[in-house]
Amino acid sequence: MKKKIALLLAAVMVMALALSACTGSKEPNETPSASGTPSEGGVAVVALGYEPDIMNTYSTHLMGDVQATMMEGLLRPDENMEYQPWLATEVPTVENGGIVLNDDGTMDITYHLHEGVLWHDGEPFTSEDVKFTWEALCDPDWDAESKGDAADIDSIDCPDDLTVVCHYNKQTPDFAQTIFTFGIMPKHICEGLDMNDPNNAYHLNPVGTGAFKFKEWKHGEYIELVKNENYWGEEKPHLDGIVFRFITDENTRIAQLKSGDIDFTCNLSFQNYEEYANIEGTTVAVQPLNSWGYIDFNTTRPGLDDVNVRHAISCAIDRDAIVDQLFNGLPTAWYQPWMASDPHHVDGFVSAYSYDMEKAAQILDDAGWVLNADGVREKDGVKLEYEISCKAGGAGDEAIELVAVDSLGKLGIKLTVNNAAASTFTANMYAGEYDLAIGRYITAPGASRTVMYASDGLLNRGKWYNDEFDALSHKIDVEMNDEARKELVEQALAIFDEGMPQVITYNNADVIVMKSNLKGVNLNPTNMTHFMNPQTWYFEQ
Amino acid sequence: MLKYIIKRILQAIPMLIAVSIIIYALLQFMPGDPLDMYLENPNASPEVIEKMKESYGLNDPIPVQYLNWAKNLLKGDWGRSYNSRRPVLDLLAERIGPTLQLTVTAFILSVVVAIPLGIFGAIKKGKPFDYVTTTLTFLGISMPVFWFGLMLQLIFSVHLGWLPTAGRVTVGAAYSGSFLDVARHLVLPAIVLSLIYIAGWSRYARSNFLEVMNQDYIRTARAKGLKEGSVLGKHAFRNALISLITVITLDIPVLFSGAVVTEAVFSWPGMGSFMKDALDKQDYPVLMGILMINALLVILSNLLADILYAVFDPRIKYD
Amino acid sequence: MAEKLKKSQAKSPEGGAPVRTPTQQALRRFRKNRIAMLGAVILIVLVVFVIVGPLFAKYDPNANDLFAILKKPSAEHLLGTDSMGRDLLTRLMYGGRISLAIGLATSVFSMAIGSLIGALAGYYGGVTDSLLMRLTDLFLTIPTLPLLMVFGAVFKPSPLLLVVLISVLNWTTTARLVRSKFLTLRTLDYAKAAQAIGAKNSRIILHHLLPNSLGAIIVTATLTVGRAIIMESTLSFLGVGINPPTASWGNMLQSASSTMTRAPLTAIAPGILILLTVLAINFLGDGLDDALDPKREH
Repeated sequence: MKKKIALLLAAVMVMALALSACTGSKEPNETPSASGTPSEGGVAVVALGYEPDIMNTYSTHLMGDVQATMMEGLLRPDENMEYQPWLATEVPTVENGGIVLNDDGTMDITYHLHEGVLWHDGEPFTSEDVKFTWEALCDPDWDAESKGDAADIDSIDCPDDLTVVCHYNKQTPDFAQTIFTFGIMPKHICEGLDMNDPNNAYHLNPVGTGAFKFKEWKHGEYIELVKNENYWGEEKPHLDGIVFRFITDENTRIAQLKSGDIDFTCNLSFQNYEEYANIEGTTVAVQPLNSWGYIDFNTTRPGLDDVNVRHAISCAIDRDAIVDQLFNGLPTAWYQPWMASDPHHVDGFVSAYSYDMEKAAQILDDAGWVLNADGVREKDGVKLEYEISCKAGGAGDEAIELVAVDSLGKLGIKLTVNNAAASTFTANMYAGEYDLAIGRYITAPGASRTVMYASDGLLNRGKWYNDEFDALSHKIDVEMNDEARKELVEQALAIFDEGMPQVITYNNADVIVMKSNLKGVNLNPTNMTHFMNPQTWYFEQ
Repeated sequence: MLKYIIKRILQAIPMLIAVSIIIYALLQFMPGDPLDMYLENPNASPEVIEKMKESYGLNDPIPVQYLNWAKNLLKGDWGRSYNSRRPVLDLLAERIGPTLQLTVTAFILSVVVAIPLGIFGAIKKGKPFDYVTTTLTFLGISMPVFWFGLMLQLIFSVHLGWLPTAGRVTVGAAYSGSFLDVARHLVLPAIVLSLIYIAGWSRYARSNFLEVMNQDYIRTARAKGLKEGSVLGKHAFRNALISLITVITLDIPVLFSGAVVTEAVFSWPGMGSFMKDALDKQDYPVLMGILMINALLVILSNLLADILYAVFDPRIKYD
Repeated sequence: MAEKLKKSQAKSPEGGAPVRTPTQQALRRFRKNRIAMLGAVILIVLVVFVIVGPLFAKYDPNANDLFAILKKPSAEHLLGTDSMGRDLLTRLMYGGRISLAIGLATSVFSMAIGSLIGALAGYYGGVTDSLLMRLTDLFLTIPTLPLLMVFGAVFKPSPLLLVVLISVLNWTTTARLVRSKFLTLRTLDYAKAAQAIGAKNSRIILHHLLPNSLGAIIVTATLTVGRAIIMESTLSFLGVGINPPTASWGNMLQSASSTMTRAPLTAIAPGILILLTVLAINFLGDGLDDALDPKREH
């Protein structure tokens, strides 16, 4: 069961943002010039803060930014985090008959595929490719990272070239989070290949159905893509090509923006806003993400196991000041793990433990935590002295960390900073070797938070166990009715706030800077990245 | 002499083995293991992770892992990257070219600038030239590489627009990757990387030179009425060079591994930036590969230092 | 030490006329060297700044003020504030304690280790030399920066740990230098003469060979101070430096790389202090180098 629930959230691709470069899809902030038709030609140079590991959306440990320009899925989330049909002609629902709920608790989902879609090598795209993608993911020998919800499907039928019928062994509203949304793999190329081999024919020359084709990967430098002349979509790509350069140092990326060497970059830090905000010839876009910043508690630590201490800490964090002063107002102060772009979030919710230093002190006093001679609060021999950690180099996380150290110090909770490299930090957290940790989550659309906060959640590193929350969370996982789901979320949130397994600090956003003459860019709040619709990009003359 | 060289080469082998064991052991001290990145993904089930551990041989005892690694190394198999899963040898082959481009350029630049600077500093000791160069070299020593790099980017790329900010080639242009294109990209990182060596070596050169000029035999030569130029050329230069060679040769591997920061700042696709990446991801096979190349380089340059020393200073006898 | 030198002076064949001891001579030469004196003065001022300064500071070096981020210099904040609204001047004073301590301690430690090993190897030669030089090679072969990065990932980088690590990895150059000096020096007449008259090895090393190698040692030592301070800064850049919020000039300079266009002082101030330190120490080193070499004239 544990694993099932985890798999249900397959698409929850929860990754630290530090690892990711950009996330995105449609962007509400930037309005492509309405006047005239897009001009043709030109190569857009995109600077990523990292280098991809492998050209396969299911295998990669990172974000699939580059892959998104080449690979396409059956469905994809739009800027409102609602699924839209892509290689499929419509989103299957119970109403349109695409989803059939069976009495034995299983369901069947039918996709109808677009006609005339061609792979980059000219072969036609068919239902067999969809089935093959599922089969490949089911192969236990392929150690793909995002095996997704492949295990939820028992079998797939292909009655004809353009119809796919998936027989699910359960009913789940979140069926589109990973499999078939991440992308479809070409059967005629991948069949028989060792998918673990980064040098196999597919990984060396990934073939998709997308608007851009793979040309070259110069390791350590760039990946070059060229326009797909035979793209199936109504809107054909305007650019001749896209080049992804790997520039890890943010100051270097900003210098590149200033010198005009790059056309697009994202995942810029909030604190540096004034450094890149007014570069001539560029436009800044802010895309809210389905992602949040948190301060996580290891609730097995003496002191932190007391919910009053966690409440007091929440009261000591001035989220408004952090967001407005430190982060230049780019993200939003936030108190719940359902984001503004998520239809399930509770409107206007503010924690009962928002910033109030007096209240924080009062809570600790009432709970019997008294200041000792060293200015540290103590109770029954337990001192409120902890380590706080985050991934070294994460500017935003480190800033919040400094605020916490200072603010909690005033309250009589002594924090010592112990930051580590990304891998070490992650290892420590999963081994339970931390007290307080600062980080960020990003997830696919969907209301379930089981994997993060329920007792059986793989990401529940702080071991916060709450039966009421578990029960509600498991109901959310399988509730097919959206209204009912929203109500359950509201109840779960109340328990979350009282239990305080994490202090939610802000609704994360991605800051993008691009050349002002680069138009047609659609940003996206989900893990499917800003690069899903490269065919609409063009340079204004 | 030949006997001495062969002896030193033979001595280098146990050294390499010792270093590889030390580095291998050290990497094991790092907390966590390379598959921890899967932990953050709920899609990677514990079974999958366990299977991967098995296939990477991570469940074997550490000495066994080391022996396997060493055995494969001798067969030319440097292992596979945990991150990209590609063979380490392929990855290193891609990176070593750019790193050599950068380090060799920086090395030549350093030598060409530092030695004359040091010699003239010594000759003009106490004169304005000496003060200016001395102050400049101190400025060089006291500037962190990342900081100096950023300044040069701001001045020469952003404000003046003369040189590219980062990368090794212009992408998507017809002249992309041509000699001139790479050379243009190389200017700033090479200057940044060589700065600290120019500063350091010119200080050594100056100090050595001053010392040699004060030796009795130089004074004697001067007293005998030899022309200043001849004194400097024949005696001082040669003798000052001897210890300078030691310093410079020994600095070569430092120059090589010191490229980490320069490469990171300029997104130069070499071994340095690669190592930083591998360390962040705990990609042990890649780290081992890079560190072993580094170790080999150190041993070779030590050998070179000793040989040069023997060649230049006949007073030292080797047996 | 001075006592001993006096005796040796008295015994020396040249003795007779009223002569200053070598120490006195060196001191006199040093005092006459204006640049070296300037270095000493700057260094003393810096040390006073970081030791006495904090006593007068009205701010906590680590206290944030989110409503006073990157403020320009004013009566309240003489040098303005940094990206967390912390008083820059206060942090410079506290940060200097860390940076100066790291620079000086590392220099002293690595010189001590390096000189000892180099001297032993160079003087005794043979098997001792071989063994010690292989040890040196072994340390040289472990690349410093990568190793520091690995150590930084394993342990919490405290200032003391950094000093120990950088010293342990940094003595090799000195050792090689001192050894090569000794190889040359021990073949010179006065060393041979000393050996011939039956002087103890330790005495020859300490009184004849080491003083004559001091020039090279001091140049390396003075370079090491700057290198250690910069090394700490570089480690911050690589994410394995001293843990925040503790200030050091190095990590202040590192974090300033993204604020310098908005608040130039955040970068200039620590930069100038590092520069002054390096300059002062090198002036001092040069002066000492000259002063210790009796053959140099002024």
